[in-house]
Amino acid sequence: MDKHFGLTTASQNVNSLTPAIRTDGLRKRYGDAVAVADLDLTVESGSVFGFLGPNGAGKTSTIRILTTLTEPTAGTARVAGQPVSDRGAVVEHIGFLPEEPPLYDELTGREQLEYIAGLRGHEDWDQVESLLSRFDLAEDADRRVGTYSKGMKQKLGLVQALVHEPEVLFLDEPTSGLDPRAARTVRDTIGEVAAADTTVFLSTHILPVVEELADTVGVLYDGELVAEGSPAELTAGVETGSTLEDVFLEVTSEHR
Amino acid sequence: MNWPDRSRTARIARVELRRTWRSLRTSNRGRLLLAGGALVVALYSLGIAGAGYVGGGAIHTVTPGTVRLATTGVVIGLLGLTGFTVLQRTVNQIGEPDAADGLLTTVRYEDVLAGLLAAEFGRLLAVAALPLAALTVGVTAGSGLPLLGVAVVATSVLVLLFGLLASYAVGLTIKLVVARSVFIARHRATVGGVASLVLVTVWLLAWGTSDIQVALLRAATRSPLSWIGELILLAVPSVESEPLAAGVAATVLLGSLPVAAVACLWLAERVWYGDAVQPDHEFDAAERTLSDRLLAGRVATATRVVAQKSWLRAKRAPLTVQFAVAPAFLLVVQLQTFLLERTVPPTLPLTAGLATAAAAGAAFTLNPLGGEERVLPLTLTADVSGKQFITGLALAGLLPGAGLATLLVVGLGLAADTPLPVLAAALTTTVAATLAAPWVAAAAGVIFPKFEQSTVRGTSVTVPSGFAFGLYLTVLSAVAAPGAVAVAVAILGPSLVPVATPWLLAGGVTTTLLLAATAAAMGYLYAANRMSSYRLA
Repeated sequence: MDKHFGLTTASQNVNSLTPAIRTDGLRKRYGDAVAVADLDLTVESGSVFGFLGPNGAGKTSTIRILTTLTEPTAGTARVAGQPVSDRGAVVEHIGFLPEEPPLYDELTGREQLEYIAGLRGHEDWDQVESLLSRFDLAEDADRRVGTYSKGMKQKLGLVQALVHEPEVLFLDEPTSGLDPRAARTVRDTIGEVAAADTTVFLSTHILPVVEELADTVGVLYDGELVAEGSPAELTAGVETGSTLEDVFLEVTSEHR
Repeated sequence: MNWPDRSRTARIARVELRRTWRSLRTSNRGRLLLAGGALVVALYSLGIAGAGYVGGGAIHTVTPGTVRLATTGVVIGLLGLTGFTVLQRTVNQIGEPDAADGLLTTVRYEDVLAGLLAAEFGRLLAVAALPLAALTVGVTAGSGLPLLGVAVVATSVLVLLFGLLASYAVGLTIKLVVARSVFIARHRATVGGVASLVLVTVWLLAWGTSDIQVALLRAATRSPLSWIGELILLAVPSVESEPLAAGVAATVLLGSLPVAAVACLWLAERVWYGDAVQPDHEFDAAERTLSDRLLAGRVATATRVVAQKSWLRAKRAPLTVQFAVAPAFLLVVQLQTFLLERTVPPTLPLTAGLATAAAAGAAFTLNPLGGEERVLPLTLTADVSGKQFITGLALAGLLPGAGLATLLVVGLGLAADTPLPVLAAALTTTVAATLAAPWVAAAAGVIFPKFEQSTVRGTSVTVPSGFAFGLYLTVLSAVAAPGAVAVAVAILGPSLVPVATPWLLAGGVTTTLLLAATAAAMGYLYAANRMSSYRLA
């Protein structure tokens, strides 16, 4: 592990035999619409799980259930060994970067991180500083978040999700709005936290990112998991091509 | 459900208060609010100190009944003010945490709730500290009873705390009902309008006359609410207090705090984590063809669809047209008379017509550029001219506005037995103002466009600029003034001016017609030209 990050092995107190994420018959309905349909999913500790699917497939609903922000209609889910019904227990173990980074415009970047780290009881200011430097945010750390560009907010949101060294990191479109350099930094960081045994649940439309980083890929379509396996396994099973994009297009068109 | 962690609660409250302070300090509106608020609070505090001194001095001489009435009045006033403030802030703003996805995946929701409540209590104290201190000093100095000062402070803080928790719970209940009710989701504009009307009517009736206020106060002194006042009266030896009532009040107040806190926790969990019902916006043939029926073949297609879009947005997101409600405040005094005396005041037809005219302009045209929000780049690059766009917005307000204004003026005028010539003049003035209003508003809106979003009732919306609204009302008032003044003089005192009433009415109305035509033409051309030539920053 790169000590510059200050990130140590995150899952050291999680039983390595326990999956980081496990769902059984997970279902979510909004009125008559089924967003997630009987989802059975297992994500091993320390792995990067690429969660793919077209818009409206149920990815965000699944992430919101796993991060305890909404309750499932049926089924069960455990994250870091904790049932999602026990919100307090789950949030201690997770970090979350939603599509819109949850930041306060009135705070400076440094204050924002110190706030979140303080709430987590993780007041390691050296680590905060090293993360700010790593993401090229150190020079702007004393500026109000409201003045940040979309990319800077995205990076700050990622640092905020990482600052307490979570066991499971949920990322919803983490490279959205980033320039190529920043996107590369984010991709490198995901790889490095995964190497530090943090489980990464990565939802994105940018398939090369998943292809590069994911140990396992799941494709959700109309709330159902229609394909799951390593990128190599999935691409090997497709006649028409060898990229994840081909797999994605094929499995999502098969189920239309 | 767990009790909140003290350290995390304090940290959240500190950051919330810092955010409030910074957002006030760094905007012109915020600085104005701070300065104006400080001035008002200081002036009120001086008055409160004086009243406290006089009241404290009189406490030994007046009857116990009068002391009870005054004490209950203060308690109810404090409770009512706290309750109303917190209730509307809970529904609009603090009922849900900002950046909720981040905060709720960082700490337990109980900590978040406690932090938000602690921050709101801090804000309440920041506003109430000076008036409370003034009251305490005044009462203590006037009565010569230091213990009375202590009782005033302790009871006031307790009442503030109770008001905060109870109102927050009620606010969360309203949010929960709104989020879960399919009916409200489908008819939010209608439900909001009816609720506002009921609230305004109740308010007007309750505060219409001092008789009603005194009657309410007397009823309160006979209710358990007055027992809270007994807590203060315990410190006054010359008044025979009721220790039992004071004890019950103290027990109930103190006991209600944890109960209200638990209710807040229970409700917050349901509001923050529950799924709001999805409003059903299925294709509605009547809705989609409204503009077809009214405008197809009469105006350009682009103009028609702009009007249609404006109506749809107003129906589905009524907050976007909230400025249209503001002119209704012109009617408050006359509506009070109408409700209390059951007679239509003679000037109500004109006032109601002019308020409708002002609303017609304020609804859709007060922020042509900013109101487009994220669609603005598309609008500016679409095949729609500035004239077509501004005309579409103006028609959206003009068509319902002109119809409603006519109905109100004629209906109320007949009910008030307004002489026919005066009624005709009032109607002409109103219609002229209504026809001019949207174009004047459009010009004011492009002079002072507003692009920043505000949070209203937890929803981010772009509302028009206050400066645009001020400019619009100023110009519209100038346009309507000659006709309106002539009508008012003809009704209230024709002998005040040395001109025969028919000539007075004809002169006033003609001037308004000329001004309206000029203002409308200038407003239209200016707004259309600005819209066509506008370039994104």
